[in-house]
Amino acid sequence: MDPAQLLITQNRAFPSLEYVLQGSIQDDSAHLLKARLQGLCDNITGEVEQFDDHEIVHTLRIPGASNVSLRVRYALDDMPNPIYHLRYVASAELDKSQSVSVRQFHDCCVTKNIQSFLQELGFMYDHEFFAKGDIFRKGRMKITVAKISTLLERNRSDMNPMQIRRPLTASCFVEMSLIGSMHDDKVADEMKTFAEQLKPLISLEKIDQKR
Amino acid sequence: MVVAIVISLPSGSFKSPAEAAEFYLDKLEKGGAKKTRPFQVDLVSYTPLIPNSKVVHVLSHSEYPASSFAYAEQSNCQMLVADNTFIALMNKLKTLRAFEIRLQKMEARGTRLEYQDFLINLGTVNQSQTTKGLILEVAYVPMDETRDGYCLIQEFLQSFLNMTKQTIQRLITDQLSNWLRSLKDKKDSEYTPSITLLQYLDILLAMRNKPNE
Repeated sequence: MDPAQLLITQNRAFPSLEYVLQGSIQDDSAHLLKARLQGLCDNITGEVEQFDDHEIVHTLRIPGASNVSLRVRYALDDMPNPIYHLRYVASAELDKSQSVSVRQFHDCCVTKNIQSFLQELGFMYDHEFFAKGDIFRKGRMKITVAKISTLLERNRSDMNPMQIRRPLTASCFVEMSLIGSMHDDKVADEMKTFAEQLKPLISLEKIDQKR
Repeated sequence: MVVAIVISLPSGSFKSPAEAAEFYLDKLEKGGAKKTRPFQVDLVSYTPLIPNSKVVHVLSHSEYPASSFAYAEQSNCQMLVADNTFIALMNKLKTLRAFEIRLQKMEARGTRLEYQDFLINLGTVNQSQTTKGLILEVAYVPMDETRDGYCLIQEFLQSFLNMTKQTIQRLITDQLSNWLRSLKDKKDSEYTPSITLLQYLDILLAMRNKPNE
């Protein structure tokens, strides 16, 4: 098979797994966490990478089965022509023996008309939120400390960066994630040991589906 | 960016589409075009299992190996261009029983030729081992502007393959003629690869509905 055909078929079935730990920390102590992370993580330039994203979740109701959600995310810094990311995350696998949550995901970069495309397919707007914060990296791990906020009123146009935002809670959402393949046992231990180092400030745990 | 025209070549006068392909390939090579590598265009259609949803066609083109093009039938929106992991996402939706693949996959396979600034893709269209027809894509690489590019490609087809202007106008797809007509009022008529894929979609869908010869 020539290289072009190989590329086309290679990406057809690629189940990727994401190992996730989540937690939250009060706003007042967030700076302590950031300072500690800055010390522990890979830090090339000395400046912390910031992000400001808008995420919109669309859901499709399948009769006879559970709902499917697709997330459309883009960076507000990229305006006026942001790159849209389409993401599908499955619900975390229930595995009591694992110390971290494992979930399958699919990621895709798409063009701007993704929202109208999804609506044509029958996906309905579910909810949206803004996430603004910092990203820290350590080896294969990525830790995000973000402030989640929502709009005071829902604005249909996606070209308005000056929307009024209201924070959802008085705390920051922290997520540690790693992308790996199946049967990567050491990953879970790696994440858990790192989480231990952040212990008194924040306790990162598996995703609790019930909450 | 390129400007391209995709047409389905008439193969009625030949014994089989394969022979027609040979004939055209010969003609192009004698004219000076050089074979480079094989090319392939795939079409997979997903039919929805839920009400209020539309059929989704996902195309991939070997000239743009890192992208997939998706189109929802009977919708007003343009083609969605995504990474080629998009097809994995559609397959996931298939496993979740939102969509299923009921219609057969269509493939156009052939050779890619180069003649100076032109890129020619000539291939046969197959639907699960039955050959349905011939497809030809001629692209003029350096240009972005549709109207001028279209005229240039018309001249190329006239000289290389002895096609008259009327034949070409008859053979170009509805999509392209609609696009050309809509450009009359606009000042900038930038051509995008998604228009090439829209033309492919039109032709492949027509061939799928055509009964086997």
